[in-house]
Amino acid sequence: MIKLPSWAAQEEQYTPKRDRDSFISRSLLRVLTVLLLLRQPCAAPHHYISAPSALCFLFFWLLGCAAAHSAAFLLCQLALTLVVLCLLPGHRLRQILPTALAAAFFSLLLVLPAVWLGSGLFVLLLPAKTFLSLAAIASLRSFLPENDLTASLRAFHVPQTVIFLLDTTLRYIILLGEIASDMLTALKLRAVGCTPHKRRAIGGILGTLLLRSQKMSAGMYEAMVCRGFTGEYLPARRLAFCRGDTLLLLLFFCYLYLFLRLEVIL
Amino acid sequence: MHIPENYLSPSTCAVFGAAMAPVWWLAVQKVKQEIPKEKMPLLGIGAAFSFLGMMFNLPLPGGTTGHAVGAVLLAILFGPWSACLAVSVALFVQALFFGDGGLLAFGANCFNMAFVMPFAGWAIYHALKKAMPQHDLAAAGIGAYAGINLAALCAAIEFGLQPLLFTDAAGHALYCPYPLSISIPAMMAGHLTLFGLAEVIFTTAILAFLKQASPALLTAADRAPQSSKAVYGLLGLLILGTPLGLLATGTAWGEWDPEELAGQDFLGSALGYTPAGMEDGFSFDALFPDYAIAGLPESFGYILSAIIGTALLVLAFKIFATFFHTSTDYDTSIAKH
Amino acid sequence: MIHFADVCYAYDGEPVLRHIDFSIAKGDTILLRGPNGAGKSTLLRMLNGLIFPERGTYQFLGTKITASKMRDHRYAKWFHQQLGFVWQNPDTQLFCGSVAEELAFGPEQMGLPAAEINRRVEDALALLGLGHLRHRAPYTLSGGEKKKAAIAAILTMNPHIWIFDEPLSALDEKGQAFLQEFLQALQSAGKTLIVATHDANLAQTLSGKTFTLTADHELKLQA
Repeated sequence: MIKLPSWAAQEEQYTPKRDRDSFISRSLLRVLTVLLLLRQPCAAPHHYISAPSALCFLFFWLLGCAAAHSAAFLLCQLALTLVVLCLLPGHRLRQILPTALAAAFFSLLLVLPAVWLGSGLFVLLLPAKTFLSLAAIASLRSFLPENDLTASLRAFHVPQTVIFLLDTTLRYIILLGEIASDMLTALKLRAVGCTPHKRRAIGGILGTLLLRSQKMSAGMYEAMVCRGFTGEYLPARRLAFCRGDTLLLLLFFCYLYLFLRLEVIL
Repeated sequence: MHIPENYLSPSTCAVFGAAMAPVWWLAVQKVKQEIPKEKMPLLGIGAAFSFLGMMFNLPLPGGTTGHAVGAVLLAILFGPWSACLAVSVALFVQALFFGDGGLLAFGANCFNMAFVMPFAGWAIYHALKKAMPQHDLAAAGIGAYAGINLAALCAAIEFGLQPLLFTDAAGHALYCPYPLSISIPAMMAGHLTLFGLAEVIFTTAILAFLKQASPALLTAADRAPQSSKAVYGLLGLLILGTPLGLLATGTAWGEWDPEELAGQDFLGSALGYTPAGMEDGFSFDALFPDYAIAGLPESFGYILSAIIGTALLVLAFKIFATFFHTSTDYDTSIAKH
Repeated sequence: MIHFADVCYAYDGEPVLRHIDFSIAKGDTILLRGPNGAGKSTLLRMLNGLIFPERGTYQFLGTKITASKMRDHRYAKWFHQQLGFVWQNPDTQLFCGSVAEELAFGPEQMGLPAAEINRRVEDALALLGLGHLRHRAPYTLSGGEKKKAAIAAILTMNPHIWIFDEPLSALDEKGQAFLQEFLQALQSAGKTLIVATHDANLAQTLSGKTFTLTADHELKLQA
């Protein structure tokens, strides 16, 4: 028969100290739940556009965004981005927009000294570019399921090892997001006072997360070997041309024209 | 009818801002209660219609321009509180991004176009509809006409009170220089004729179109219908049509730049000075002032602004909808389905 | 001390808890049972103040637990100290560098004097038979040892209400027998126990009320 120690048999008289330490419930939770954002699966796999053409378009889009040195082209990109965002459900928007805006805000903070030092207003385009790129990537992710994206990489003759790595990484990010969220909740439930060793707590969580993910990936590889995985990855998938691709092509030429008009021939 | 920055004294702006605050609060509460979550994106589309309607500038001989607002249309479609919210958001997007209407004067502009107009127009529409139930469109038209004119009258009074209340030692007006005797006839002349007519056409045409294309939208059913392709088509058409608003070259009455104002001759001769409150007043650089984008042809900038504005409004209401609680049916057993 | 009145909860419009009514008095032992997906985890999360009823009320010692109440940090900390939650997967709970640190985390948070912390850690290590593992990283322990470490880490906080999610899962027979004894010890010390389990044996060793969540997300009470 187990007997509890005397202090455990008594009732605990605990009054939390008056402290303004909301460290764990606020900062840590908020920073790490970004992982959870990535966990969101795509809304509904529409097959309006095929993944390879979407990827091509995204590549061109990001290239154009990065190369632009006038606000005009970025505004044109903003118009399409906003229209595409309109097609997404509201709860997804509430995940994408704050993230993209926060990133834009950070890059604004980064470039502000440059403006102050007199490098011109040109650098102020950077935050806008950050926002546009992130919004574009996030909306693509919402429209295309991940495995479609990785599968489409095969169409561009990306080595299989790279695709495997990418695919498993993406899958892990999802799992890790879930695990991280659970661990943070557990920590929150146990954080009943002030945390004396903040750095240790963060390090512990991140370290454990890393160890667990390593163990998981090893486990997954073994499970795949057991199911007959020999290194050959992803059976070739039919890459059909979808209706939406025509629209994408049209948009591509439209923006190519705009880019040439606004950025090259000035 | 968009009152620009510094045409009203800061104190006037503060009064209208304070007056609108409880209205907005109430509107949010009412919309939360009355509009089902699924219908919220539609409200955004409605706001987009109003936004686009305000981009179609119409010229009037004598150099001034004006436009329809669409607030009564929204009030008929979604109820006056929703219309108030939708037009307010549309005005906010205009003020913040396109420099149309002052940021300080936002409260006053909302009072005219998002409060007086939808509520008055809606009340008249309802009264008339009771009296003659078969003439639905006529009632809507009259409501719209009355609504926009009342709004214009309010704006005219706000303009006209400024020189009575705020002048400097030399007798020069600090803000808007035209008294009631000038501002009321000048504003009303346009709105009683062409702009009022435009509002009537805008309202009845869209209402008639929706009756045909998407009648489910008009029935005040609690379950929102899928916003039909027709509505999106109409929206697209309006966007592409916005450059027509450029044909009107003049500036709307009461919306001149401070420099432009000095040359206006409504007091008999050219004003000759720029009111002091305008010269060193609050100034705010909108993202794309006057819907123009540097380096692009004017019409293209107009279309781009229309797309961006429309999308912003739809996004805003879509996100607003996510703050609603979904009503869950807890009473029917799931196992028995 | 815990009182649920007509509590409803839904994920994305899908009801997970429907019209849940129950009261738990001080010292009660509650076994929470029900098929997978009936809403057990949701109910446990709600008890821990992580999610809040969409309809109805959850009262803890007469205080309504709502999102705004939990934003009061002082209250939230006190509340979380009152309830100790043992997760199904102990990995979730363990993050410190060593078992001893893990056990000291709770009392350190509470600001107890060092001597008291030491005493509690030693007692808990001895009670759960973890003495030889005190310097090991929790991550390197076996499944059963991790579970014990997780329980010990809650024990040092000395909560009045213990909530277990599937406490017997992933334990061998010896471990299960030990845990059952431990639960009985908590019971006889007057603690309030809420145990979500599929295990029928546990219902026999622990005398208490059984709450069953049906596949229809309703709660049935059995004495």
